[in-house]
Amino acid sequence: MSAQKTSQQEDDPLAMLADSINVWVGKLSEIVKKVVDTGPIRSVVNWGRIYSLWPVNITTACCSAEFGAVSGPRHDLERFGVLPLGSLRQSDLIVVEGTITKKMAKRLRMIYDQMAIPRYVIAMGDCAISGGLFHDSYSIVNGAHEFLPVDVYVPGCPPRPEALEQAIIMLQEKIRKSKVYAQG
Amino acid sequence: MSHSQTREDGLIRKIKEQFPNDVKEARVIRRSRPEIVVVPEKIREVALFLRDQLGFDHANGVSGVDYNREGRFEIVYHTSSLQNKEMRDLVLAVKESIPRTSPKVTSLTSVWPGVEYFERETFEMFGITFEGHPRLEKLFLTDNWDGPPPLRKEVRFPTD
Repeated sequence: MSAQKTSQQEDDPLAMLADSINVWVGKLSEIVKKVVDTGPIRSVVNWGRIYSLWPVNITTACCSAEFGAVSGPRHDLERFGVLPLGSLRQSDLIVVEGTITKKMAKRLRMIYDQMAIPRYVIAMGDCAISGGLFHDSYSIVNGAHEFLPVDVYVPGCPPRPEALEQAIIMLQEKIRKSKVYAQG
Repeated sequence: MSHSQTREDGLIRKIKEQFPNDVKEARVIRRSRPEIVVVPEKIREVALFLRDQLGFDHANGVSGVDYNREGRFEIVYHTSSLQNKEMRDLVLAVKESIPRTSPKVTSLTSVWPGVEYFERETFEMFGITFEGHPRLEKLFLTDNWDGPPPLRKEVRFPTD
C-alpha cells in the first residue's frame, strides 16, 4: 500500500510500526472474511437473512394490488418471513410493483440508496421488467434494471400471487448459495 | 329501444337560434350526449351563453385530438350542469377545430375556472396555446423535458 516510502518515514520507527500494524490488520479482516464465508457462520448469517426479508412500502403502480393479496391472509407471505414494515432503514427488499415513471424512478433510487446493506430487488410485472405495455413511452423507464441491480424478475400482467411467492423462494435460494460479504 | 330525445333536441335548437352562423354542426350521438361544433373565434360567447342561460355551470374535462391527416387539432370541452336537476345526466361536448400550423385558441378559464389545469395539460401534451390563460406552464412532464409535445402524432420514439 505504500510503494514509495520517503526517507523520513524509513528513519521514523513509529511510522514503520504503524505501517506494519496497518498491514497486519488488513490481513486480519481478510482472514475473518475467509473464515466467515467458508465455515458454519456463513450458513447462520444467511439463515438469518433468508427468513427476515422485510420489504419497503413503496408502490409505483397497479401491481401493488397483487402484492396486497400476497401479504393478506390467503397467501400470507409472512410464513416466509416477509413482513411489510414502515421503516426503510430496517428493510432488506424492494419489490418494484409495476410501471416506473421517470419521476418515480428518481424516488425509487433515492430509497434504494438509503437502505442498509444487504438489500435485494425484485422486479414485479412486465412493466418493471421492460416497460411492458408502455415500452418506449415518453414518461416511462424501460425496466428497473436501468437504475437498480435486480435479483429476481417476475413476469405477468399482473403476476399471480403464487408467482410472487415463487420469486421470494428463488431469492431465498439465491441468498443461501451466495457469500456473506458479496451480497447486497 | 328508442328513447325520446326532446330534451337534447330542444337544447340544440336553443343554441342554434342564438348562434345561427357560429355553430357549424350539431347532433345527438345518443341519449343525453349531444355535441356541437363551434367556430374558434366565437367559443367564448357560446360558453358564456351555455353558462348563463342554459345552466352549464362546470366543465368535466378538456381534451385535445390530433387529426394528423386532416391537418387540424380538435379541442373538446365536456360540460354539464349541477344546478338543473333534470339535466344532471347530460354531457354536452363543445368542439372547436384549429389548423395544425397555428395552434392558438381562446382560453375558457374566465368562463369556467375549473378548466385551468385541463388546458395546461392540453398545452403541454399537444403544444396548443390558450390565449388568456393565467399560467400556461408545464404540469406533468419532467422538469428537464426539452422534446416536442409528446402526444402529437408526428412524434416518434426509438423503436417505432
